[in-house]
Amino acid sequence: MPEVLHPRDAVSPVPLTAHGVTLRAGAMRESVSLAAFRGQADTLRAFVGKEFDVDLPDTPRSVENADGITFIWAGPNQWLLRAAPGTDLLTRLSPCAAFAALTAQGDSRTALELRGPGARAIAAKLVPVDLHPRAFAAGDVALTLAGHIAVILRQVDDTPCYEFLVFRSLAQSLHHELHTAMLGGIPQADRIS
Amino acid sequence: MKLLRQGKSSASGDPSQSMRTTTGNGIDTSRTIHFTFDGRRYAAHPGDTLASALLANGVRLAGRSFKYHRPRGILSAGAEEPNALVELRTGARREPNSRATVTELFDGLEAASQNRWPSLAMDALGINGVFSPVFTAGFYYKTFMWPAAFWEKVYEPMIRRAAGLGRAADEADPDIYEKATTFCDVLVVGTGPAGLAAALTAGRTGARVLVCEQDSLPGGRLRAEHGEIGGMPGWQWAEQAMDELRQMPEVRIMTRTCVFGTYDGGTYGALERVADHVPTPAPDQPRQRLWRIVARHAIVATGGIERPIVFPNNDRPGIMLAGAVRTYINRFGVTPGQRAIVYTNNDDGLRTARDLHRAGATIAAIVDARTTETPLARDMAQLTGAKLFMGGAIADTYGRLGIHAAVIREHSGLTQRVPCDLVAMSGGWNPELSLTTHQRTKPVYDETLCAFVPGTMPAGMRSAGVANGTFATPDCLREGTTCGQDAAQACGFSATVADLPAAGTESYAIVPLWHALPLDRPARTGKAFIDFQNDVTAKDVRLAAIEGFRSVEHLKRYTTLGMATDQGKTANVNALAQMAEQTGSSIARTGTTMFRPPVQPVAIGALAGAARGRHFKPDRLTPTHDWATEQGAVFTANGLWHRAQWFPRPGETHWRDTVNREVRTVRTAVGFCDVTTLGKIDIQGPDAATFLERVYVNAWRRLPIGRARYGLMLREDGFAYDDGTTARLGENHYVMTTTTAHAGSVMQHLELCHQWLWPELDVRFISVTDEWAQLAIAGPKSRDVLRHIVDPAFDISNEAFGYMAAATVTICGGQEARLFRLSFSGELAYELAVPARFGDALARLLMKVGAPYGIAPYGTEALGVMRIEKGHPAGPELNGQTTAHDLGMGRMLSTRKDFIGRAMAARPALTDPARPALIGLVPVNAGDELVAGGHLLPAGAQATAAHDQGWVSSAAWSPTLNGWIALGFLSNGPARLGETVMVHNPLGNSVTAARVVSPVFVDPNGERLHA
Amino acid sequence: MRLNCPCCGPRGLEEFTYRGDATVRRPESPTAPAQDWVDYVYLRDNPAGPHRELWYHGAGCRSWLVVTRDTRTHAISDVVRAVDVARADKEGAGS
Ligand SMILES: [Zn+2]
Repeated sequence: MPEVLHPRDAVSPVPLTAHGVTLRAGAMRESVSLAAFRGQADTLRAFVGKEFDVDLPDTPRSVENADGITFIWAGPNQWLLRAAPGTDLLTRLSPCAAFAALTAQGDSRTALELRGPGARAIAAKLVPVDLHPRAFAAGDVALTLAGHIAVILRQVDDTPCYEFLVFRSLAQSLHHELHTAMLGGIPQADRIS
Repeated sequence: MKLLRQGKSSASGDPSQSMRTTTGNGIDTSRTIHFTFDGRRYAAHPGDTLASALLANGVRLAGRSFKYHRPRGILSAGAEEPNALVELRTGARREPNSRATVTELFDGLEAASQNRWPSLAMDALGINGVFSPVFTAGFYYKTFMWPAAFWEKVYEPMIRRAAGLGRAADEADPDIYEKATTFCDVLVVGTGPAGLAAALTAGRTGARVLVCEQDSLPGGRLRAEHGEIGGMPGWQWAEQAMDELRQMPEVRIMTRTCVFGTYDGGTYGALERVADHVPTPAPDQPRQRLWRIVARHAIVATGGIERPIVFPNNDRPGIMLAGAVRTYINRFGVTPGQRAIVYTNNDDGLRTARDLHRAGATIAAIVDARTTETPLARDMAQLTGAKLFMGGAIADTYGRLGIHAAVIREHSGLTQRVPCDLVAMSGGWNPELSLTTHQRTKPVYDETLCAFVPGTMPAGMRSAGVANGTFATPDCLREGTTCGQDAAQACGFSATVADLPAAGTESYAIVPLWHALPLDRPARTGKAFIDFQNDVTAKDVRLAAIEGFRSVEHLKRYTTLGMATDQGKTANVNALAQMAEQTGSSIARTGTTMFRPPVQPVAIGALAGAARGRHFKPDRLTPTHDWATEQGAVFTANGLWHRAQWFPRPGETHWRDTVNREVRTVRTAVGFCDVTTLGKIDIQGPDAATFLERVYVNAWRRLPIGRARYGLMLREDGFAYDDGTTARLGENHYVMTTTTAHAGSVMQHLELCHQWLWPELDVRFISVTDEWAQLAIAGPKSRDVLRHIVDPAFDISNEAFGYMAAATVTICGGQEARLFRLSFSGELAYELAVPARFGDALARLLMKVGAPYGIAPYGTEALGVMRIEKGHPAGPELNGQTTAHDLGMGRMLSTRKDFIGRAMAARPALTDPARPALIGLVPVNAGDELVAGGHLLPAGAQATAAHDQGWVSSAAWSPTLNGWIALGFLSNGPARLGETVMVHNPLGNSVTAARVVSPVFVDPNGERLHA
Repeated sequence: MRLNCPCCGPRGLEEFTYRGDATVRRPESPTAPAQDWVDYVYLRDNPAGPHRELWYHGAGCRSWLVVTRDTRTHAISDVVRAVDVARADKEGAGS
């Protein structure tokens, strides 16, 4: 009888709240990187459009299809797909292998979610990109830094809620830094009504 | 001093605050708070600064000067203060050199004077003033030159004791600091009339406006003056304007926030003093917050700084800037003297007489440097009953710990002594234009204003109001409005400008006055100070000119002018005007030194933010970190990674016992080690093999699917860069491993090769370092252990899965994994990769199923010992100075293809056999220790650089060979096996005889690898 | 300093790594004259004024960029993807 391997979370799943902002580690999801081979981006786009009924974004944005699969722009002609466990993304994507590199990323990144009216002000302590609604809205994506840690940042909704996709090995550090930023409170200029 | 105690009954009803004569617009007289200064307790009101509270209590003496230890009082009412520097708080929060003029008072504040002993009034080192000839310009360079040995032993300690500022806290800072980035369309710096007008105008357009005010209250000089705006006192208008701004959804306001620097690309630095005004921050609350502001446009409305007048003994306590006197009266309700002399060269200074008179002070004299009597001068004299000296000067002052008389020199040259306890002086105003010059745009001199005004502005910046050389309030409002409108428009927001509120125009009318007395007739006694904080006098500037240090940059460095913590805010213009006069040049031609950020001091703690101590840098944790912690592992840092260094067991008394045991376990049974930290890069594409050929020195085209190969990368200059194994997983699919240290840089290198050198190659990369938990399982019993884990469908026998095999397998009943037959230790070994979430479980499982085989985890130290025993190069060998030939890999260099480094590696000097090349070393006398870093010398040679033939790169105690072994690089090394050389260790001053051997100490024929 | 990444938008300096001169090009062949290799590997001009440089958006989209920067003022006048420059150069050379 073979032993079963039990998965382990990169950070504690227990949510933390301070100043009306909640930090929570997202559940593990399937994730696959899709990188078009040279001159094949349109072919890939057509395949994805047909298979998933979604247009792959060409700018730093994410889109979600009806099945709840998120397609995140991750660089020129490169996307990160995230889906619920059991979606079996790799199998559904296998026809792409001729025109795109498919790479499993489900264990590479941990999702940390920052949610609450003050989430924007807290995120600004770590993220050096403009998160004002005029500059960054729900669905928008930034490949950037959170403190010293590289992240894929995505605005999930208008609460606002931000999702930080961080390399698993750095997830505990980022979790700590986000929590520290939360404890420091909402700056006077960002009074949240 | 007696005069001070005769203040009239205080408006606040608190008898102790004898100089609190009126009510102020910035204090709350309904409440009384207390503080101590040099141990004495005083009363004050919320809204006071430490300076206003000291003045309210008749305390004029605030500190001692830097070089001469002269008694000093409070000169200013703002951030430019050079004199009243104090220590705040005690213990770990003790903070030296704090400006009393911008220290917000809170109940219980403890403050102390500094740079005095035994007490402020009775300072032993005041004698420096007697020896002052020693301390003139250039004294650092002249006095302490000889004898050289005296510098460290005598001069430096003496200077440090005598000419110090405050004492830093000697405990770790207990407070929290944080950093944040924010963006806006329009940044407005300052909330005087110009700044508020700009903010209102821009804010009303809907633009994103950020308003920064360094003070706790808005208004700037409006709080210091009587003028009205829109039919109400100016300060009330300012508060109304702030209220309106607060209602605008896209306007954000930061008070107690100093914008301290202008950086490239519309970036500004600002420091928010979140909790400096309370005794201690709330739990988890940061004390200060460092802001990086990215603004499309900035409006600098930072007002001005008043100049002192340079006259003999102009530094006594009680000699203050005229504008500061008005601030203390109107904002704080404090009259800093009862019998005042007003000394000015402009109308603004003149009006100080009126405010002092209204506050109940006697005006002993008005000294106006202008020779022609003006109606305003006459009115002021009439109103206050003061004697008016047109064309007059102050020639000297008296009073050791505070002024009690001044010598007034009439225009005719006659002098008279006038008793007083306050001199309110104004040499005119300098626009505070620091922020406009940080991008190296120079200010220009305006003859009419006798001041520098902003010249060419950096892109996206405007200045308004006094900062721009615009003095009258209606003009400030108009200019602010225009700037706000233009800035918003430039950001795409159209502005309809509201009517400007009415405001009175008050004249300025200044004449140049750079020194009170003619320079050719210097007073025999009495220093005329220019830079109060660094004790630089008019005589020092004269001396610098005579000695040839005439450019402003030389003047600054020779005299230390402007180099104190205040950056010469009150000093620079007076000094360079005097230099201009000395050298017969104009001020415009003499020029000004440029300002550098920060405009005001910024604590290092704020710059560090949360990145302190253990959190200085992020930690990267391996998938087995928690398990290793449970096992009692000792961790070591490897870049950001924390790796298990060894796993001590009870009874092991020295780390080497543990490491020896771990090595023996691997060599005789089986061990495992987390090697997740090695960089792993997924490479796919039709041109993947071609790409590998270009970045590695060796050939890749014929590597079959399911096999791995060792690869060496060079830099383009021909030296070795990185190494690792790359496995072919599919037709166009490879996974590359890099060293832990170079994982990031190799990724960057591959991207450069692909995007810049060979964009025609069709290949993509992505890091999979974090995707896979990769464990090395090594030792003669490793296959036996793996058989319990790898699903039986996969044949891992030696025949089916030989050395350098690579495959995707399933383990534990269907879990996908990757298995590689790689060995760093030289034993039969595998690396098993599972999705990172299962890394922890895999370690636990290995412990369980491996127990019957004697399995044990091993750390990086045992890993290092075993790779030395096997002669595998690592970081110390790939040190950036070694070539493929040096490493014994010269034959790997392909000549059938282009690859990075090929051309330069072929240079004769890089292939010269005389270059030090990799060898092994063992001590001639068993038991002798070999030390990494030691130099290799021929036997019997003197330890000189000429005899140096190489070095020891790695050394270890080998439990397998039961002796010390080392890897090193020796000139002509491979041809010298068997020779004895000397290992010279200059640090330990030891010389050890060593025999040159093959670098492969264990299993030289590779039988174990293939077992 | 801020660079406007053509893929990601304007970002602060901390997201980028500087490499250097983008005007030197790798010799086409390993057997090119030694002087060509020395020029490529070691020799760099140090102009006072606009200069084309390679920067890497390592914390962002991992694009190499050719940045035109005035070395006297840090004014950035142009940022383009290096891959586009390299392709255009190769196509230009090939035609
Ligand atoms: Zn980018």
